[in-house]
This record gives sequence, structure tokens and C-alpha cells, in this order.
Amino acid sequence: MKKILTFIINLVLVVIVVLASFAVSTYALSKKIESGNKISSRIYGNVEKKETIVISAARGNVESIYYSVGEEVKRGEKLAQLKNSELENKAEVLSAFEDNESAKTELEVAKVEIEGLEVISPINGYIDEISKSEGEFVNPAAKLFVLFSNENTRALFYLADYEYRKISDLNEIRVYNSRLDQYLDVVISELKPRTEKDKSNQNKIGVYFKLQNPSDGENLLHGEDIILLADEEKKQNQNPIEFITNTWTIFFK
Amino acid sequence: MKSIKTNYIPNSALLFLIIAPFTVLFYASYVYNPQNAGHKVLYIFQLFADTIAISILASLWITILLDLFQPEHFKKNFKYRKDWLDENLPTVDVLVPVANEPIKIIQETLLNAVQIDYPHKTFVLDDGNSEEIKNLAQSIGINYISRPKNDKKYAKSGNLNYGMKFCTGQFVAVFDADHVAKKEFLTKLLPFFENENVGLVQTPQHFINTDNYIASGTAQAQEIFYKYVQPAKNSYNSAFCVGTNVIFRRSALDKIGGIAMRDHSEDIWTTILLHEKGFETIFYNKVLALGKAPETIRAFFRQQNRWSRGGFSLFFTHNPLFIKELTIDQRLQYFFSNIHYFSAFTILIYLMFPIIYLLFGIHPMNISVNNGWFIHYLPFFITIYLLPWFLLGSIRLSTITTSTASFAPYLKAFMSVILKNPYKWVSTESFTKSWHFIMFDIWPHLLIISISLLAVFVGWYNPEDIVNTSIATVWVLINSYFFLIFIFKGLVVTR
Repeated sequence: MKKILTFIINLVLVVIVVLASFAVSTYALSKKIESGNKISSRIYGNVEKKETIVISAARGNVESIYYSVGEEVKRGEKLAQLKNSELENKAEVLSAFEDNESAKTELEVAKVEIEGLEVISPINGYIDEISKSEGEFVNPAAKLFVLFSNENTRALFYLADYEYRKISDLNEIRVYNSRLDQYLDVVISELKPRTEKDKSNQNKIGVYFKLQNPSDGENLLHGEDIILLADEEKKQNQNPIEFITNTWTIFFK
Repeated sequence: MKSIKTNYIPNSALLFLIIAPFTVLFYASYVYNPQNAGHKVLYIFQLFADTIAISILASLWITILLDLFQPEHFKKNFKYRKDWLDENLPTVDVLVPVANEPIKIIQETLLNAVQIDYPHKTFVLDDGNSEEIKNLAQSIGINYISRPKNDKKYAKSGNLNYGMKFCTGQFVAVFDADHVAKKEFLTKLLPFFENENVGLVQTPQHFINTDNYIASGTAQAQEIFYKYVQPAKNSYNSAFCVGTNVIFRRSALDKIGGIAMRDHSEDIWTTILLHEKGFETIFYNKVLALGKAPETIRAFFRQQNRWSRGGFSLFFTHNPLFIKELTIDQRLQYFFSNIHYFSAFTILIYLMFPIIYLLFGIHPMNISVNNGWFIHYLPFFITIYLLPWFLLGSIRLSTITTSTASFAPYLKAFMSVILKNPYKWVSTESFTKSWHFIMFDIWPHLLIISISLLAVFVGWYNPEDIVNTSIATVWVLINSYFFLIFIFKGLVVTR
């Protein structure tokens, strides 16, 4: 009787142990399947956009600014209006002497200058900085706006040698932006020349990635964090049961 | 007689002394560099495990090395004149504490104790109140002492102290029930006591039942201790009593109030108390008694649990590093003995890492860099695993498996010391039934085996990294094999 009881208790403990290990490994397997093709490693990098500085073409006071920081602008849109009453007066006076060749030329020059009082966006992008405020006087070639272009958006990542090797082997490279919760497809564009500044990333390679779909870049901000998802090649995910049976058949062959 | 240690140190041991620093530094330079860290939490565990492993290896290394190169003038001088024995004729009591061991074993021990070559009184101290032993003692003609039930406060130490109330000899020799003394035991050892400062003389435990798998593993692990560690400790006057095959000076024992009253590991506590009082201890490296090592998993774990409890309780309650009365050498040597039992954590962590890698794909080190971790790990692990070969010239599977498996009783002991659980003393040999709630002892091993096997499947389901998955697979399979063979051999006890 005692022997049977001992045996039963031992058996129960064996069963508990085996069940526990089944539970743990099932959990691990389900996690593995869930993560599937998603993320195997994460590398942080930054969005790089081309910076464009808008300068004034003429002398004058800032009359009005039509945009504020962060707003998107399209190429050719009017960013601000300068006012130069001297120039306007001059144009007005000159227009009275239309017969005079010299005055005519002068007037054309003045008109061009007046045109220059309109500040136009040279790119599609967004406004990062407004350097002057309304009413301020500006000289020609003064910095008015800093824009970031929405075209040719790139992402810069510093990669270790092995990471670079691994990633350049991939068919599909994706990045993830957590602010927008968006996955974007990218391709390697070029390597960054090493400069003195990169002290902290000395042993790494700076790699620029460009977006496969350029319009994706519109919503990204210059300098913001972006994550490189170094996925392995997309594999054919087997059904776990299939996998186990396949493995066994290999053993028994 | 100046030196009493075996002067012969095999070349392989010198080889160990030479290559161990290289493999350890090579490994440490990699592991302790945070740039190589992988998973952060696991990395902390890795550092913890490695620090313990390296400390233990380093303590063994430095113990052997220092003893090897110790200048002659620094070595302890031993007075040893055989004539002293004839001139003084000291009186001796031989005590055999027993507690429910099989009568056959006790009988052999008692018969041999009586036949020791020097006039002595033999006492059997029976904690089991057995009529059988009483009759046996009468028929051999030795004294039978049994503690009254209301006096059974401490286990072996209580038994010995109670027995010593009836002894009057100047010296007390102690043999466990399963240790058979040779005839020359007393004549060989007593002359050491000419030096009034010597409090005890200890001889090795030598196990003869090496045909048993578990016993042979214990025997080889013990051999390292008695061949290298104890002689080195002896040079620093810090050899400690192991509870059997030992002679105490009665007056020294009386000065510290008898054997230390503890439920377990009273031997090392008694030695520390003797050292604190300024007594010297001698380890004489000659086999003068033949013992039996535990043969079943249960008995083996019980014994390991008792020893490690001693180590942990000393470490946490009476840490030898901070005992002012001891010399710095003694403090270090005791400390080295204590930290050995922390290896349990290392073993467990090392066992878990490949399993965790297979299951969850995380690893404490950054394994994607050219398998750098493997290149650094391998020499270090070879050094650890081949330790018995380096020091004893042979390596048994049983040694590796039993020492790996003993992480469980160590951890159990650690928990009970931390939680201050009381200890119930049961003698080593009382467990002869091998299939008695065996799962209580081996569930950690069985759990590791079964998780390992399942982890292999999980790991090979869309493996990310074929090379590392292969290494981890081999590693968990080897560990599982060690445990399987340990459990199998432990259950099928061959007599």
C-alpha cells in the first residue's frame, strides 16, 4: 500500500514537471510564431531632410508672414511679403516718364525689385524656423526662413560592420516611426563619409537609406528618431505541428 | 619530520596552474566588457555566475600555487617522535556515533575499532536506542551509551558530547558508523600531539565503494579536496576536521565546551573554535580509515545538503573573514571553503542560458559578432570540466554528473539557511530505499531535462541563427545526458 502511494505521488510530480515544461515551451513557441517575420533587432537612427534657407531678394520691412513654424508649404507659395515704400515711390515716379529710355529701364529694375519683395517658397517642405518677425527691417540676402524639403527624405543609421552586412543582404528593409506608428520601406542609398564629428560612432558605418516611396517622407520631421527593423528574409512560416512531424520523419528516414 | 604532504604533484596539475590564468583572463576580458553585453538582465546574471565561478577557480588555483611555492622556512614544523608515545602512554577513547545505520555496517566499524593497535576504550554512541546494537556491543565487549530521549537536543554533536561525559581519556578518536579504521590509526597519529598546541589531527576520508556510480563521483571530488586543498590548508594551520577519522585532544575540546553544539557541520565549527583559542590543527595525508560514500541520490543529496548548510551558515552567521582571533591565512582559507557552495548558482545559471536562448532567442552576450563569445567560452569551460583530470590524472563521468547535479541540494541548503529552517538530522546511510519520494529530490533535474528537450524543438522552429542554435542544442543535450545518467544510475543502485 505504502509502495503504491509512493509511486503515485512520484508519478504525479513527474506529470507536473512535464506539464510545466510543456507550458513554458508552448508559451515560448507561440511568442516565436507571433513575432514571426517582425522584428529581430532594432537600430535607432534619425530622419535627415535637406535644409533650404530662404533669403530676402530685396531691402525692406517685413509686412506680413503667412505661415508659422511647422506648417507645410508647396513650391511657389508666398511665404511672406516685404514692403519698401521708397521703392514703390520710385516706381510710381518713374512710371510718369515712360518715354525716357533710361527711366524705363530704371522702372523695370524697380519692378523686378518689387517682385523680390514677395518671398516665395522654392521647395515642397515645411517651415522649421522663421528668422524675422513682422515689421522688422531686412537687408538683401538676409536669412528669412529655414525650410526642410519633403523631397529626397533620407534616414541615417550608424551600423556596426556585421549589422551592415546583415542588412545589405536583406531583400526588404523597413523602418518604423513611432510618432506616426508607420512602417516604411527603404533602400540603402549611400554611405556617409567619415568626419571628425562622428567620434561617438567611430567603429560604425554611417548609412543613408532613401524611401522607396518618396511621398512617404512628407510626414517625417527632420532629426526625429526612426527605427531600423533588421528583419531576416521573409521565411515560409511552417505550422508548428507540421514542423514537428517533419522533424520526426527526418529522424526516421 | 618537516613536511607531511605528498611532495609529488603531477605535471598535469602544474599545467593547470599555468594555463588556468590564461583561459580565465581571456574569458574575463570578454565577459566583463559591457560592450559585449547582449540581453541586459541576463548579462547581470552572467556576471554574477562568472564572478562566482572565477572566484572559486582562483581560490583553488592560489591555494595550490602558494602551497607549492611556499618557502621551506615558512612551512609549519611538526614535532613527530614515535618514542613519545611509548614514553607517555596517553589514554585514548574511540567513539563511534551511530544513528539507525544498517547493523552490518556498524558491526564492521566496531569490530575494526576494537582491533586498533593501541590500548584504548571503545564506545558506541547509539542515537537509535537499538537493542540489536546493545547486544552487539556486549558481545564484542565495548561500552554502549545511548542518550535518554529527553536529552536529544542536537544531532551528532549532542550525541558525541553526551558520550564524552563517560570518557576519561586524554584523547578522543571519532569514527562515523561507515568508516572502518586501520590498525595503525592511533600509533601513526598520536605522536603529533607531543606539541601541546595541537588540538586535532585529521586524516582523509577515503571511499572504497567506488563500484557504485554516485559514490565514485563523490570519491573523486573528495580526492581533490584531500590531495590538494587540505594539505595546503594544513600549511597555513587551517586544516579542518571533517567529522570522522579524527583525533581530538580532550583538554582542548573541554576548553571550547566540547564539540560545537550544532545540528549539522559541527566539525568545521569545532575546528574554528579551536583555532580561535589558538590551537593548531594537523591534516595527515595518509589513508588510515576506509569509508563508504553515499550510494543513492537521496543519501548523496542529504550529505551535500548538510555540508553546504555548514558552508552557508558559516558564511552568513559567523563569516570567517571577520573572526579577529584567526590569522589572515586561516580567514582566507576558511573563506575559500565557504564560497565553494555558491557554485550552485553558477551551475544553475549556466544550465539555464542555452535553454533560454533556444526558447526565447535572447542571450546575455552579443552573439551576433562572429561567434566571439564561443571562442572565449570554450577554453574556460574546458579548464573547469577537465579540473579532475588536471589534478588527479583521470576524469570520471560520475564526477562531472554528481557535481553538476548537486546544485539542487546546495540551493536547498541556501534557502533553508536564509529562511532559518531548522535541520532534521538523519544519517547518511539510513536511506537505502532509492525509490522513496525520489521526485522530491530530483524534480529540478527532471524539469531541466524535459524543458531542454522541448526547447530544442522550439529553437529549431525557424531558427534565427543556425550556428548558435546548434551550439545551444549540443550544450543542452549534453547537460540533459549528464542528468539522465545521474538519475538512472542513482535509481538502479548496484551493490
